[in-house]
Amino acid sequence: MSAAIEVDELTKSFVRRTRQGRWRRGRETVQAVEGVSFTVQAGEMVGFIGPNGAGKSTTIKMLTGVLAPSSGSARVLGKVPLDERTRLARQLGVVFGQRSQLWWDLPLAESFTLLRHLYRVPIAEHRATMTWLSDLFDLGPLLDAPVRSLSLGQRMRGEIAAALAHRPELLFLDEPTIGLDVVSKHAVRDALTLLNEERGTTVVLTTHDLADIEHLCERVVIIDHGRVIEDGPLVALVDRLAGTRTLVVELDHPLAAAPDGLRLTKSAGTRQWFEFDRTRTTATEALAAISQRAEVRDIATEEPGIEDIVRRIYTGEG
Amino acid sequence: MVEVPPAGSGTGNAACFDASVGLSGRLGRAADAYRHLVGARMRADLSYRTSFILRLASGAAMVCADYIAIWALMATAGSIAGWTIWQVTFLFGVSNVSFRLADAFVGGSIERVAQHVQAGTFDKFLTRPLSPLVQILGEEFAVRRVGQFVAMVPFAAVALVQLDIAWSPVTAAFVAAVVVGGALVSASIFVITACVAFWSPRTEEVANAFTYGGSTIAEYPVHALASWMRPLTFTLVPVAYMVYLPAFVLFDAPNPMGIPRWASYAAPAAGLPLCLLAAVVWRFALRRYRSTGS
Repeated sequence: MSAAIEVDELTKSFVRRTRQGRWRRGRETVQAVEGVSFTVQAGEMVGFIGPNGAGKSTTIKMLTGVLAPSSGSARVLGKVPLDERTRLARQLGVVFGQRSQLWWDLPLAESFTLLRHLYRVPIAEHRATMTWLSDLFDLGPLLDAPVRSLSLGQRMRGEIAAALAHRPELLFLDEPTIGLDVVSKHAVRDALTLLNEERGTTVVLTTHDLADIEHLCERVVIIDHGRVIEDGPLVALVDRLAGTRTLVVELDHPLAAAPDGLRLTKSAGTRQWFEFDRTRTTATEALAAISQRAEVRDIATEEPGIEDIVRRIYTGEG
Repeated sequence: MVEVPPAGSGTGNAACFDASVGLSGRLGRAADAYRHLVGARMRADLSYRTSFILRLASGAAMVCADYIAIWALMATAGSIAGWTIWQVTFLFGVSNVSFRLADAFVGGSIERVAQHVQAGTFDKFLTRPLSPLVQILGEEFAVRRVGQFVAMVPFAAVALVQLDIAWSPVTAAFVAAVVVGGALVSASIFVITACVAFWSPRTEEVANAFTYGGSTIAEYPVHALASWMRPLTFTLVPVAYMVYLPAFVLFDAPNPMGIPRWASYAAPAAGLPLCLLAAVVWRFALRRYRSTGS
């Protein structure tokens, strides 16, 4: 495997002007990215998550050559993005989820034709790519419709397909599922999975929807305050950071108080929820403690969701 | 499932950006992409047919109305600073042909940079393998401005016929050079003023003051302007080089401000250094965008 992206201590600061009184203006430096390092291997599918303003989009813009880094180095497909932007553009697909690159008033098919001319893709190659993309994103019924008439989900399928029309080796997706309904999200995720499996296209995406990460990415990079604070397989992260589990029991009579080491978090009739620290107590021990005090009719365990874990990381509890 | 080669093996990647492709090849490719972008813009505009025709017609009517002010002035005064009605009409017509030509091909599209920078949609031009300038000129091509250009052609044509010009192939070539040179001057002003948007948002009016304000000044003989304004037409708003200076060659008259004849011959070339300056400013503005971001 070779590295598709190598980033070393990349930083980006902006100068923001502030008002100080009626005429005076102050200058304030805002550190958007402060020393991000990571490597993405060719063929990987990596998810970037982090709260708003964490520096995810800024990082992607530096990797595509749209923004100049303040310091540090980046190599994307062996090239320095800022110096070789035009050359690199042929090998990259970029989707900024909240901004369209399609031609709004024209049928979707025309956007593909125009991109063919911009990227100078030979016609035969273009036809083969279009057949493949139509199939992958189910574009058939959409191609003749003006982009402005497409639903958000349909348009996003079109956006991603358009970013792939010149067969890039590396695809950047900045919030590709934002605002999509469940069905559309699934369509996008399925297509991306197939893309990665069949073509080996490297995919880097940012999202606020952790289900995207669960479905798509084996590796997750968490960025907060302009730094990488976690980088690794999703499963390992959940395992390491999920501090508590919950035992849900159906009892013959509800307990008034929780046994030692357990915490009663919820009661609904004879059903009760007991939370416990997974590092100190096992589920068997917890069940044994409860069954000393009441007859247990039914049990279930609840693992903390990835949402909970990430929220704890963002708020500094992790 | 159609058989598709793996990523990166497509001819589109390596073969299409080849260092061996020379400047002419690169320009040819840019021209080809530009042509397709303009075509797309026209088809998009035509999807709102009534609005398209109305805008084309109202634009043409509006620029013709500008002439009424000049005509009214001439009707009462008889001449402006010694220039006859046909000399003034020549100045109006030719400077507007140049200016509206530049507006149609550059101004109408480049002024959209401001919106793209503010909305953050300028990014997409930087993620494609083509000059952002070529992309914006093509993608935002303002066909309605072509109507304004066309409407100005009769003014220039009638004035050229009415004026007592000793026509020869050299004179004809000089007139063509005046039109092209003036268009380059105007185009440069459009590009340079559009770049202000990269530094400060909502400055479109500043740009308009220089571009449309400049074109209005260009309709009057420089020596008829207030004395403090005259130097500005050679420097900050360099419209004197467009038609005013070259006009003395065609009128075969001495310049009332004592500017030598050779300067009148050389004036159409002023567009070239200005274009160069515009290119430098544009590159500088792009770098500025990339270091501050959206």
